[in-house]
Amino acid sequence: MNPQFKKGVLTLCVLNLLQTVDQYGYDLIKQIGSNLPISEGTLYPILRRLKKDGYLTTYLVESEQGPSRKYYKLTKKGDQYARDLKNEWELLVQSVEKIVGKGEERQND
Amino acid sequence: MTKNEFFQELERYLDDIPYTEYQDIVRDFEEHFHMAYSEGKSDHQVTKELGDPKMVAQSLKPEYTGKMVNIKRTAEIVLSVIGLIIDVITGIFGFLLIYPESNHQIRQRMADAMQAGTSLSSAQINESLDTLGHAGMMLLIASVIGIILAIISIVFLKGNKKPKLGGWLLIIAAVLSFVVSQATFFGAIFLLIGGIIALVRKSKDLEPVAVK
Repeated sequence: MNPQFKKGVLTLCVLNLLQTVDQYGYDLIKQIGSNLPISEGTLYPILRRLKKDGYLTTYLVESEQGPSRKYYKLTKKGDQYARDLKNEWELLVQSVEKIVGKGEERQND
Repeated sequence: MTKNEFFQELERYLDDIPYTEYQDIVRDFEEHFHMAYSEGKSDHQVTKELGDPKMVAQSLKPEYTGKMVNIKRTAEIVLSVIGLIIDVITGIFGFLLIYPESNHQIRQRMADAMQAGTSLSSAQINESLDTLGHAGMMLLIASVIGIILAIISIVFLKGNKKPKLGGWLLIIAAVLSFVVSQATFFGAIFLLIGGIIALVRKSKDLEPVAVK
């Protein structure tokens, strides 16, 4: 997959997963990684990027065993961004569907 | 690939980003490994799922490019090394000046030579040789101070670990060695410039400049 395209899709997934509930890195990554063919390590840079741009904040929660967990939380700006991206995505899917759908019709003729 | 190999690779590709950032990235991955272990996964499974550390590092890098490229501290380290080399040379000079004082044969020979060439009394010659020996001792001490502090600074500057501390140490090295012996001037000026650059460029690594 084209890296830029992939990054956009992954950003969309991350933000949408966080819209319902705060999550820690591992869980978040597992949910995406189990559905999409990605190198899970590349999601951490995306999370850092989103945090730097102010779409996410993080907080640490102590764990009884092992290192503390870093939770990711959407900011207001991030929530808005998630909606915008989702709208853009749906629009894109519809547009692509029109073209691809027409192609299939032509094949069927 | 084992966990250690993963981190080694990551470190290799991220050696020029701010150290605190690097530590935070390592923390995230430590957490990831721990969670995966608790699910009963092996090192190899986890590193396979994470993917190539080089790719991970490369996707982290864009955040630190632009103004962050100077974070290598090459200029500061080069200046420190030049100052260090000059200090080694002045240190050798200092040692050569002390040497006649501690070695009677050589001192006698020098005194004889001076007496033959001038009309100075042996007392005056002795005095000037003492002065020379004293100056040599100060020069040697000053150079050693400069050498030791410069080496410590270079360690701190390498990989941008503690640029602020490294910068201050270079400035202290320059001032201290110059106060002890003005003859270390040339070494001190390089250390001083290196130190100032290390401090001035510091502000940039606190706020990595985002590249869109």
